[in-house]
Amino acid sequence: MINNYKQITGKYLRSNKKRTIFTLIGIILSVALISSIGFFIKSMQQTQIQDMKNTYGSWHIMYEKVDDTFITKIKSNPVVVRSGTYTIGNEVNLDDHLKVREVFGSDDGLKLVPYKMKEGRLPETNKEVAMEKWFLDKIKKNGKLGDHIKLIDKEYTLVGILNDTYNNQNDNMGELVTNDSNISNKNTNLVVELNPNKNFNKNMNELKKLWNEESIVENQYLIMAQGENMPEGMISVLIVIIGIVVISTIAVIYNAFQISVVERVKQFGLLRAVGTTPKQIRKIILREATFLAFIGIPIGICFGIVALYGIDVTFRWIGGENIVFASPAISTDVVFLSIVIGLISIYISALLPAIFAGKISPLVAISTRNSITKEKIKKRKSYMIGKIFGFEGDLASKNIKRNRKRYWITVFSIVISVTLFISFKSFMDMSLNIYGETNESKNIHFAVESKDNISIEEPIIDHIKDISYINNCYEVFQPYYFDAVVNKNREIKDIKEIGSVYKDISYENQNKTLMDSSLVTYDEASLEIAKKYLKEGSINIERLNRENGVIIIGNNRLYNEKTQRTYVGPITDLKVGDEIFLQSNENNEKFEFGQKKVYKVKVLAVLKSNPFYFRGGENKIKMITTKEIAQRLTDKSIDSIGLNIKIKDVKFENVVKKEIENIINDSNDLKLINIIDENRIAKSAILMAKILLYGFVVVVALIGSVNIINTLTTNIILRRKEFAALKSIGLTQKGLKKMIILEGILYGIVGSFYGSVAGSGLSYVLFKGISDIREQSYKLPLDAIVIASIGAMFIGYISVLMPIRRIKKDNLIDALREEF
Amino acid sequence: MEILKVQGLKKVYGKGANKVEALKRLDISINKGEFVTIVGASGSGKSTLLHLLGGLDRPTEGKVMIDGEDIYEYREEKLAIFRRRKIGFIFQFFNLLPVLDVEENISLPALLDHDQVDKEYLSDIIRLLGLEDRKNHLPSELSGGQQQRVSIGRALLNKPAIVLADEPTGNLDSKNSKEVIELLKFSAKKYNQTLILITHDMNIASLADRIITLVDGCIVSDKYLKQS
Repeated sequence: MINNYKQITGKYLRSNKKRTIFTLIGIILSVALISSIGFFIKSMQQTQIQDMKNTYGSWHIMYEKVDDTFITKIKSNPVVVRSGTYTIGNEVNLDDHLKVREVFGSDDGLKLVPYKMKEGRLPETNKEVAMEKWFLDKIKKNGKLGDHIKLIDKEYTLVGILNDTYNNQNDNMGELVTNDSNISNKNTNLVVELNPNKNFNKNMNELKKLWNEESIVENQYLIMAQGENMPEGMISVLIVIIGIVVISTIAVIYNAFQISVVERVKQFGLLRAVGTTPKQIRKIILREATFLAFIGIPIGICFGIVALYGIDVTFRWIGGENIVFASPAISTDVVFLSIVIGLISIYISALLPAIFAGKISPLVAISTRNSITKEKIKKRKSYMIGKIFGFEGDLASKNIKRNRKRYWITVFSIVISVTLFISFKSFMDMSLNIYGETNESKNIHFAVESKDNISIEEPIIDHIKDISYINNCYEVFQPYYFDAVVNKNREIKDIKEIGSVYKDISYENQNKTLMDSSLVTYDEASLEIAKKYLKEGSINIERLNRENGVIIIGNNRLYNEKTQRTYVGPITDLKVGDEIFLQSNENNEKFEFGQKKVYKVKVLAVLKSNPFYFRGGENKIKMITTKEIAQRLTDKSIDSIGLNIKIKDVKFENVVKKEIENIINDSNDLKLINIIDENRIAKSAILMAKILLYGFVVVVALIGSVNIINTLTTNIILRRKEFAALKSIGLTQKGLKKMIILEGILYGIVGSFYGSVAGSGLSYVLFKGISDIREQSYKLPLDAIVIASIGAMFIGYISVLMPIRRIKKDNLIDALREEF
Repeated sequence: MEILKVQGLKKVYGKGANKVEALKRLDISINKGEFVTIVGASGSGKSTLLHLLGGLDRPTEGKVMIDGEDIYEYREEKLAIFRRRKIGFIFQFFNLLPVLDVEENISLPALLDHDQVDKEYLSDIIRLLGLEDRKNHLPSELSGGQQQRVSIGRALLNKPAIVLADEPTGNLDSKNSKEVIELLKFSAKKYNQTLILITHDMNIASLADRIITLVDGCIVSDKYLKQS
């Protein structure tokens, strides 16, 4: 027995488990998405901060050439968290190669600069010392902690061994790190750490005013990683992404509540009839919201944490030891923020349906007549759909628009889902396009290079190609440079704005465009693989040779100095069949065009992107051709200067390495470079980014699907009585099924249409955000639109199947009599 | 003693060409403890009148005075509380909350008032209605007659001054119909309530103290019957 009207909430939620679970799933997925994005960003930031601290130190500002009074002044400044001095002593030559210098630091000074301990601890007195391992090996064989070391007329106790650094090894400079806060010479620096969370920029500016500008260094990388001075583009992208997620959360939860209210209009009407006040009705609904929030938000956050660790595990699994994308960090900020966003969205979403429910007239409970007269039905004619799908289709199209409110709620839910999918997917594609260029060079395992671009002798090449473990061996040739003249109409507007690329020229009595170009030669194997990158035309060696053919790479990267952005895209609009006039321009000589011999070449193919890293220039037309044509155009013999080798399996790494080394051993000019690791890291980083972004897209698609299923299912279930009436006058189950399925699909079509428009708009906003960093031309996300539309129609279809099954089981008489 | 007074009550639905005048300036006065039936053909305005008497709808013109107060002067919030305390409704389609059991459905008006349910009175009603062995059942587990008895129980719980019944027997067989009317009459007498009942069934109408007949929104006859 309940003893308060508010307990109706619990009763309802329990007796409508399916609806409750659906609403919960919506809340859980949304909160999980918000929190996992938050956790992920936070973890990346933490990793980056740690990375910067390791590389550059934990200090924010450094004062050079300081004196005692200044140090005291800074130490007593309330905004300073930690400060310390460190002084670099004079260099002393130990022998012809090896040099040494002392570094004195105060306690905090040594902690703020990036010394990474390999073993032991930092020195605590000026009698103790820490040094890099390589240096220790040089001055004392088998030196270990606790040893006494005598150097530059001083005796130290070794207390710490530091990680080797590239710079010191390269300079042959050993550093003796000791603890000493005395300011012995003019080279003392004061390093200062601030609280990054409290008025950082203001405090930083004040501290900067205290010393002369030339002697102040800021730790820019750390400051950037800690979130100050983030590029505005990044911030706006973040805001848009989080905004999309929050809006979708509100939309999904709002929908769920609105549906659950609409489903119970009669019940609320009855409650109103027996004297429930609108306020009490609102309380019932808001109580439902609170209950769902209490269950859904914690589970959602747990899922977010699971997702974060899932991502971490996947990354470790793919990347192995080589790469750690981020070490997972569960930040309380993110948990708190997710709870707040979750609560706000749940209450906003529940408020409107609650107000609506409070306004339900008590008459709704009593007379069915009212609910019919209140539906404003517009007469519609839909000849098209009627012709295509018959009577049932006609009925379906009339049905979906019968109740404006219900129609828009359903369409809105599909629009939100489609919009989310399109904007997220296109955002992902754009980011991958910018940051994740993949080409065949990433699949290369070994490279053979010659010193000073001397050509490699044929027998060596043949020998290497004969190694049985080798899959492909691509020959590399030197690039050649030309002045090129093309038709004026092949200029591109964005490039014109960058300036200095196109020059006007009158050639053969026509106004044409003069620009730089570079030519790269491909061997047969390279040309074969280039076919994968074909955008238009065809690649045929004989035809290239016969028609003086070249292949254009339609993707360049140019830096725009005016806007300080990088443009990614084609440099000309050259198409298959176009002619280019070329005049050799090797050492950037200033010959007028036509002064030397001019060759005419013909474009026979255009590629989407570089098949290999391009060896010519990015701000020039990028051309590829065969050895024969290159010879013709340059009047030089074209010989390979390097080899790119792809082996059959990485497990042959050592065998192949040995065999190649044996072959090139006799030649002093050749060296073998192993790029397996480098490429593996590069490829796994791209793969990880893809997994991450696709993961988000999958979750977004899931949220969208839950939303659509929720709305459509209810839509059908609410009309059981009507379907029973249709059946009782002779509509077959098959006809009914056809009608309902068509309704689902029609909703999918209408929703996809509006969703595609909204999604494209949003993707353009995201594009604008990204292109603040990199410039590229916007493309309509057609593939995302197609996927989302087909998906929406499919889910529209799927989600009506379940209620159809339920309706089939209905007893006609019962359904006709049904009240609630 | 007069408990209910209707003055110039008018209700118009729709606008323009769709305008329907459901009630045309009615004047009625009903005394405390009276049992009144309202009869008339479909569309004569019976239900509209009942809804207006109970504060479910708002009239286009006119007043409904209960205990000397015009209920349509009240704001929505107060009107709801008025319904809860002064009026008991019984509908043709029993309109029970499907998620609540018999006992809870009957207690609903008291729960809405944050009142402790008078357990003794509750079991009194349940006994009177003959639902003792059904009190923990959900509406879906009850027959039509039983469901209607639950809705009568709900209408009686707050000891309302007026019980309004809209064709309470319209969905019941003749045996159940008779029982329900007997029950209503009995309880009205027991708790000194005014009972206003809409019906098509002249047999039931003839059980009342007074029969009001409506045609096209007008009262065409108002007869007092002499009951034994």
